[in-house]
Amino acid sequence: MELAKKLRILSDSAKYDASCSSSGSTRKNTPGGLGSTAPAGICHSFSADGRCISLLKILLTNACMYDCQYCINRSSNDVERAAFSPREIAELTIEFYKRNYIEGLFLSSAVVRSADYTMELIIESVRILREEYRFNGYIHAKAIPSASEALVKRLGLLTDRMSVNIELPSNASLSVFAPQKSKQAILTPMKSISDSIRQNKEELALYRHAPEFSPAGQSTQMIIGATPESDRQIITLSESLYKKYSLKRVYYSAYVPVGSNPLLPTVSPPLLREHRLYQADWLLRYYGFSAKELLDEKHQNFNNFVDPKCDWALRHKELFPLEINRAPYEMLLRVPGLGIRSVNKIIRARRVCKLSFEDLKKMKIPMRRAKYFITCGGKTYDNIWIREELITPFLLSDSGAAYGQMSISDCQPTGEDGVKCLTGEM
Amino acid sequence: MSDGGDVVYLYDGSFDGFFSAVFEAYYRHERPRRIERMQNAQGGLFDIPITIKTDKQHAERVSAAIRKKISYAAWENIYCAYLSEIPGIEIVCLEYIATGFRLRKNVDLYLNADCVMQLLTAAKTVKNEAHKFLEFIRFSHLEGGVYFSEIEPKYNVLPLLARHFAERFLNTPWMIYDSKRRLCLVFDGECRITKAEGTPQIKCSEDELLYRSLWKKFYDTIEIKQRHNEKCRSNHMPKRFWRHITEMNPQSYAP
Repeated sequence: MELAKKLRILSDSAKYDASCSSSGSTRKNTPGGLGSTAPAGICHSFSADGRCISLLKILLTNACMYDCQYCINRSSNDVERAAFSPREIAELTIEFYKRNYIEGLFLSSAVVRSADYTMELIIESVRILREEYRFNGYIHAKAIPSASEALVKRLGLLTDRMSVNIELPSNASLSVFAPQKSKQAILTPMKSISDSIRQNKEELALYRHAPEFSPAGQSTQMIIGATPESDRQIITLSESLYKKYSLKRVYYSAYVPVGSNPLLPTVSPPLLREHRLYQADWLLRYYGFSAKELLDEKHQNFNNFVDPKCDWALRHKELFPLEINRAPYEMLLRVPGLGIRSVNKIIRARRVCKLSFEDLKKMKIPMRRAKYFITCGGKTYDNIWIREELITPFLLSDSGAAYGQMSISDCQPTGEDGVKCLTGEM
Repeated sequence: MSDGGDVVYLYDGSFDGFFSAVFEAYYRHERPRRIERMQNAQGGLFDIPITIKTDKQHAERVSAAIRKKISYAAWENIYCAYLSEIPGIEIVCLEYIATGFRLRKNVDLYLNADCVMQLLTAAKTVKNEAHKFLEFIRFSHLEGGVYFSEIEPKYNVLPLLARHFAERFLNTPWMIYDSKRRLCLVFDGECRITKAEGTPQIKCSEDELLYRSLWKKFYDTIEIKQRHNEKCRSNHMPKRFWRHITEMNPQSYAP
């Protein structure tokens, strides 16, 4: 088969994987080698759906022996099949890399013959790149569920980041839609990777030149909106993954209807829901929130109209307004509309002078939402005071405009519809 | 420092030239009204123009003073702001330097001071522009083995690109051509920036078109059609870059 055709088929099959980051690694070039990594990652292009293209995201093969209902490559689906040889993958990566098209390779694969056999093919491709081409760019590889531990360890020593997809947010959904995968088969390699990373950190502390094991950590992905889990379940799961396995990222992928199973929704992808989950995910990782603060028994899903932080703030009006000149860092982070950068600016500037609203404006701190929650030197912004019924209309996020084609009214039902159609039938 | 009245400094456009002007301002105890590049001098009616001679030693003394009395980061920010070539940025830099000598390394905390915020903003804009080119530079493999790229940056970012690409493509010769300023960043073991005479004539190697078309194919298939979002794409990848991005310019991938 022609190279161009294979590339089309296998990138088409790989595109539903959300992850495309090239951050977290500080691999340097070596004499006679090619490439390096940038710790913050570099996006090299943006596809027409607005997602970044940082890595050559591709499958080794899409001829899968599993029949996961939500997946485009399931064995019962009628799609064109193709396979790259490890050497073809390596050559393509090198040629693209030299032209600055990509930061490196994101290699995944359908399961062919057995989990171990597939892993060996992935390892071989990465080995050719690292050893024969002396490639020092970024490599993200998938560990195949239920592959043997020794293979996972070998792959980890060659890559910058590894990931095992958790696929669906609960065991019950997994057993319905991916009967050949189990929670155990997914969590075992995840645990093995996180153990190896921790162990490797200790080795590196002792021996500076010890080989690095997946220095950019591991990530995972779950599909949102295909199964009936609530946002609360999902975000709680993410939190425990971050805590237990110290994952770098959990990706959420709004389910694009590619399955034919009548239990799966056929509506367009719940993009707003995905967006809210990402916002909450950031709150977990960088803003010191915990999952149970964001959602509780009474609030199972995120508010469609305001972002999770704003939602939280409106439920905790007793904590506001905060005095910008005195409030501790942790509390400033909880002010809606203030991000890490703004808070850092405020913390720096207030060391040397008392800040007023004019100063904040000069410092380019966005006031659109924050003004309802802060005071400067005891003064409120234009005498605004927090009264939910008055200010909520002003806080409505402009997600309709900012996140493209969908308007709020389009998005609202999709997530729930999917849930309803499932709960009704299951 | 006394008010320099209508004095306008003209310098040759180089960074050393600019620092020589700063040196001059301190030496003569005056605050010029403007510091301008000779080639775009406005020549106002009441201006008293003074031409600054570029003096490497003077420039070095200013550099050293900034690094020692303020901080290395401040020096870097001044350099980036200078690269912006925004009219009037030189006076902002001079004010920032004066403020810096007064406040020492804490100067960057005074975000509510106009000159500090303006300088940091300018530096940030330039760094962001440079980062865009780490992303969007596309090399073409030429006959003879050189990797060539053409760009048209808003600001003069070539000096900021050198380190990244020199580390990354250590063993291949490459070249980035800024067609707006007619400057060329050349790497063949070490980096240098040269003035280009005329447009470089390039001839691509045999397999260049093949890889361009493969890349275009990849770019097109990786989109999830159900999530098409034109606005989001051009937010991240503004259209002014498209002309030199392989996958966005039909002339580059179609034979």
